[in-house]
Amino acid sequence: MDSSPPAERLPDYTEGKCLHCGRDALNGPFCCGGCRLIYDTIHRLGLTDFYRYREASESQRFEPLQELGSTYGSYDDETFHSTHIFPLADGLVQARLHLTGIHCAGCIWLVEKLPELIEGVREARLSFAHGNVTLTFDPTTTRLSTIAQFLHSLGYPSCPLEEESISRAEAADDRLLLLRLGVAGFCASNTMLLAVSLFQGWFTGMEEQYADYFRWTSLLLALPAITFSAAPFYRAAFGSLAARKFHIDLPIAIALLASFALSTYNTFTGRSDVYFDSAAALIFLLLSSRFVQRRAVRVAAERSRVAWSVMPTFGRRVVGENRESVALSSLRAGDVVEVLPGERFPSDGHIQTGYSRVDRSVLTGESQPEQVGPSDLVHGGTLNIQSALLVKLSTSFSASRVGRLLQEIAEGRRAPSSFLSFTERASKLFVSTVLVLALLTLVLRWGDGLYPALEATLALLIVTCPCALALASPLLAARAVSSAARIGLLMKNVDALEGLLHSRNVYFDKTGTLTDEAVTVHDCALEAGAENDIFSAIPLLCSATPHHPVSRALLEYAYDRTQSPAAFAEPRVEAIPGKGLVLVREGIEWRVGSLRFAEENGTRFSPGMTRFIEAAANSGDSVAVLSKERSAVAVFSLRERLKPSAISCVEALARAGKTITILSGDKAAVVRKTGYLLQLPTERCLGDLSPEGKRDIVASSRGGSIMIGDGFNDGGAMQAADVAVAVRGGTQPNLEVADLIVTAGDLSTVIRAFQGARRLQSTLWLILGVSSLYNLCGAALAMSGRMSPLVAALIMPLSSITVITLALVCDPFKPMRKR
Amino acid sequence: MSVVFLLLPLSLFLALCGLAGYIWALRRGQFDDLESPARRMLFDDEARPTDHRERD
Repeated sequence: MDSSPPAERLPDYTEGKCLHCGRDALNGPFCCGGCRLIYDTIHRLGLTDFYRYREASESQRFEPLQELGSTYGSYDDETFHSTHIFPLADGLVQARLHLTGIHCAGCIWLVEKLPELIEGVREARLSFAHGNVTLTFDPTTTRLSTIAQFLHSLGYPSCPLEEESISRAEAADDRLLLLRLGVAGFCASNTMLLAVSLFQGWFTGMEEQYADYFRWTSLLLALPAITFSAAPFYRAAFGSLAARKFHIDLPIAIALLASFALSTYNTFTGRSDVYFDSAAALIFLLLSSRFVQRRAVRVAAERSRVAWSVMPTFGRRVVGENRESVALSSLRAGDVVEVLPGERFPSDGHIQTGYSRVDRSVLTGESQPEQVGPSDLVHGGTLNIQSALLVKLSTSFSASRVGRLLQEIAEGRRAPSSFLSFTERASKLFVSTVLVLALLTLVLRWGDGLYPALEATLALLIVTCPCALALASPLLAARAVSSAARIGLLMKNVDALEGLLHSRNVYFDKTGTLTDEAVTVHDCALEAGAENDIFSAIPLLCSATPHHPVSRALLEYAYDRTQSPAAFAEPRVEAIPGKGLVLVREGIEWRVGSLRFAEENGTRFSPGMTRFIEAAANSGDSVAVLSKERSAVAVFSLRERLKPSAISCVEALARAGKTITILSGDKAAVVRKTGYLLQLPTERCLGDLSPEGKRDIVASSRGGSIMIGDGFNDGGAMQAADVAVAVRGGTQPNLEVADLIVTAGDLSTVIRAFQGARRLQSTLWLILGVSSLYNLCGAALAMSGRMSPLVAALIMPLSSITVITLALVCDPFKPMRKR
Repeated sequence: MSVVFLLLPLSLFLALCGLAGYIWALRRGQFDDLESPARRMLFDDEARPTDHRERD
């Protein structure tokens, strides 16, 4: 661990706020070890200008590279190169990576500084909205893995842009929409200019030749808008007719075509009323709101795109004496692969040679690593912690447990929603009503003549233009998405918010969702006067196994309490699997490990420590003992820390009448203890569940289900739920499946999501109410023949503006003012 | 007043030039990322010779 500048000397230290990211920091100048590391790195590289540009935000929590056990080695592989790295002129190559953690100007500044920091990098250009960086570098001087590791150390974990072709197609779609929008804007503005002249002429009289000229020009100008720009509406409207459904675009499409037809007729016959400008303006407005909505949703989706680098993409096949690196898809049952410590198993199989410890948390959520040896079963995707292993595979990756789960998630086979969203139902009702009324108008006014009847119908169609549903609700959705992003809630699917309100069952994952990831030291009994000794001994010992949860807990504890932590682990530390660590240093024997380990060695405990151990056992905590020369100098009680926001979140949900259940892969006794702290009945605390088991429980629930989880082992359950909430942005594939993502891991954001959903609902009701009132009056006037289409075309923008304003002014997730 | 027969096409031509400019910018991908250029403007670094590569 690097030594960092002491906090007190730092000039920009705001009490209570993390120096690096600006979030709340409860003890000390940083909110987490990750921020401290990045702060060090930035200072070491002389990049402190970063802090001028960075903005504090609720961004994702950062995990240092060592803890992830990843070295981005797969980026250097031949097969990866052929699909992700493209040669440019003069020997340079270009690669694109997706970065997580980009949230402010400071990030742009830092990332684009790469050419100055890594030799061989020519250019780094960040696209802020998508979080993608385009790197141009010299492959003979540097490697992509080096660049990725460096970016990671600055706080930006990366992953390859897997769906390159999809993102290009989406970009092309976006551009087409903008093109249609631009053309519609051009047509609308110019026809409006001409319309003003025609209105003027209507009042004060205009010579026929000029009026004709203006009308014909308007017709020509409106053509591109009516045909090219409005094409998506026609496709949606008439396409859905073929499927016997009424799309909200149907009245719009009919209104557009009808007004164009009538105006053309009037132009030919020289009558005064033409509506080209209204039609073009309507198209422009509708396209604008679509564009805004798409952008907002797209940005949210991109920000949540998962870093797949945690999952293995290559395996190291053993052929005789050689090791060859092959793509995951080429591995077959019967292949023998070598898996080094820090790497993940490429598929399911049995160990051939070697002993090690395996972290299965990706599948089980369990934090304790498991001991494995020859002929033991290991699963693809789990992490090998301790030593190199040779594994004989029993399946290919796609047939392994993880592979199958990933496939389920990727195929997006979500359970069909048990309810239609409110706007969908309102739209259906609206469209059928308008069509019926239009026919009715035609019939009623038939007696006045064909032309007046057509005019009345057109007036009805124009006046009842579904501005609330077609214009305001996409804007409202876009507002909700950006408003939510500000409190650390990424919404990929706005309809999911409604699902939050209507679903009765809430399922929580335990580890990482309700509790913090690792165990922490709850309390400690120290031998008096030995503090310094103890806190310098712990890093020497525990740094040998930094992945072990108990080591991590002790390291964190010691690190917080000492000014100069040891920079490295003693190489002579002996790790006894399943028991503890031993170190003989300067003739003194130090041991740290479980209680049983200490007892087996005949460690002496003082009476105070014995009492401490009993108390810990009573409250169900596990215990770690540090002894010096067979005498216990420190005893630590360890427990999984419940997130402070968990209690208030569960309470609030219970008050709202939801049925809450905990689903966990951890041992049932531990789950019940957690449930007890949250005041949940024992039958609602289910443990020892496999990912498939979780999924089955969620799938069989009734009355709507919300799944809140964080790990890969929740992916299946999230797929099966009506609403999927992923907590703590990170590196798990289930982010793809989630509708809502809480980036900071804070469960109070979940409560805010509920509140925001309610506020959004009421705004929607308000908008629909105002719009209905207006529609009723307008329809009545039109049907009685008292409104000409021209007047309708003048009034319609008024309603549009009202609902648009109401939609844009709403801020459903307004950040609460801190006390 | 018959000059309007000339003026109208003329002004429409100007408007078309504007539209053409918009389409050109769109094709070159200038609307793909609207956030970073706004922030990039505010950085105080010394100017570096950048190579303007055509994108897409």
